[in-house]
Amino acid sequence: MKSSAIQWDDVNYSVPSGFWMRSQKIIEHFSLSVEKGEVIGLIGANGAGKTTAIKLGTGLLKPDSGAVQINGKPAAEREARSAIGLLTENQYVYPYLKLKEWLRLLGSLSGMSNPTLDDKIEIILEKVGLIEKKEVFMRTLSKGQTQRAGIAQAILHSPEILFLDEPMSGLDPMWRGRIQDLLIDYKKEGGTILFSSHILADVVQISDRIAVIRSGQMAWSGRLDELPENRGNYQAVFFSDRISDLLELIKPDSLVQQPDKSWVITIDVSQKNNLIDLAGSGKISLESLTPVYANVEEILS
Amino acid sequence: MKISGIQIHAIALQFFKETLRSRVFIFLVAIGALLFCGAQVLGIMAVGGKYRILQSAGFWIIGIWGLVSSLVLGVNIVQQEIKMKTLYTVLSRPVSRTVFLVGKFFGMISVMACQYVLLVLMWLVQLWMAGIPVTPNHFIALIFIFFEWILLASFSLLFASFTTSVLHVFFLTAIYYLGHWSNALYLFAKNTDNNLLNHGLTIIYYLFPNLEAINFRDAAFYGSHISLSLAFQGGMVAVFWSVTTLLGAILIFNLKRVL
Repeated sequence: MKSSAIQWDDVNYSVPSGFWMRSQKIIEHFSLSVEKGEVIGLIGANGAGKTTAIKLGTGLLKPDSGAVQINGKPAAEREARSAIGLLTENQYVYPYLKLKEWLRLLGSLSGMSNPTLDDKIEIILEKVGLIEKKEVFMRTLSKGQTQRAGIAQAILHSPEILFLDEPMSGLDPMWRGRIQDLLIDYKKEGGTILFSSHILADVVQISDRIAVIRSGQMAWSGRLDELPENRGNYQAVFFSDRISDLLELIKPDSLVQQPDKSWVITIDVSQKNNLIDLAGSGKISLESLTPVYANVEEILS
Repeated sequence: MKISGIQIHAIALQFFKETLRSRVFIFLVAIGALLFCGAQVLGIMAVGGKYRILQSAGFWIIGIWGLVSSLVLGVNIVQQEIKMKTLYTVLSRPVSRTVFLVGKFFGMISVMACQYVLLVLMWLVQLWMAGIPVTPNHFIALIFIFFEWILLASFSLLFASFTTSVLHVFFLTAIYYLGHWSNALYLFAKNTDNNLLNHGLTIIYYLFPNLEAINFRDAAFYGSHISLSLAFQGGMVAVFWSVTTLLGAILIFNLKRVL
């Protein structure tokens, strides 16, 4: 039997709010267990409590009641925190530090020291494509570069567990793919990942399970194929001169022509084979066909 | 223990670099230099009193700059980390809040030490150019002024751990002036016949650090003897208040809900 890497056990968390400082519940009876080597996608709408659940998991916040454990130890304990890496949704950086100095600071805080630290920084920066920016001040990095720097600091000390809050935020499609590969490699090496997202497509690729959080409560958790009515659409990009003939056959949900004259079309799953047949008969030149997953919140509502 | 040392060093170094690069340091030293220039002008204007003015103004500038630096560096030392949320990345690592605050304290002291050295050098050059002899008493007074800076830095950290910027400025300024005035309060308390006043003022005396106990400026000025026991007492006052306030800051910061 696998042991739990992260465990939220009936956790409640509230913040004082308003003139009378009444407590407002942010997390309510939240329980979730992440096994060692498992990847869980935490999904929920904005304000659902994903970030707070992560902060509780990393020991940054103390629960009002219930317990949060990392490798069987209270999350707030120093020993527990040495096993984790955290990527916050936005990167909070020291503007007057250079990228390499920032990573050196955070590596030192994780107990790393030279020469191992400097070597590791070089390797990590190479991985996230920021090696040429190592002597650049943090305040001058773009949003995407700062996000990649955030990923670098999260994996710098080779943590056993990664908490990633919206890891793909601000990344272009190429870097989304590369970071996804990086996370898949981390998983293959036995790493445990909990990451939050409100975009299901980001989660699908690498998650073993997903957990859906709604209004601070666990709404559903399980494997993706166990999702009720897990039925998505497909998005196709193709070229065609006779679009009107096709519309009757494939009944699109949406149709947009791009500046390069290609058509972007969203179709129901039932229309997928019709579209493939059209491509096979040469009536359209199909460039891509990708599944579009429905928003989990919609599925579960 | 070794890891805590590495962490404290890393946090102190971060504060040091950030402060120097954000030009706060240059600003503080530049204003200090301007004040020395002002003292030079006043010295020229004061017929026959140049020696006196250059010495007392120099001690005053270096002394008050401890308060100014502690305020400028300390007023946002914790709030800024909370506001900019940089504390998230730091505290998600195996860093205790105590280590964080001690690291900030040493960062603050290292910036202040650089500033202190530059100001003292400027002043010594000014005295040398004016032909004023610098005695060992001057150096003793200067060393104790730096002790006062450290004491003020720890008070600044204490206020930063629980209060707002405005109250921070108010409290630290009050500590500075009441600290230099507390000797007079104590003497007044001892000379009054009113029991209530006596007890009240004595309590106030013990509540505030006696900054006059570490003030050897007059001894330097008049060339009077500074006994070892007096210097030792001064040192103890500085160490006691610095350590006590730092521990207070750590205690409050550990109890505070910061995130």
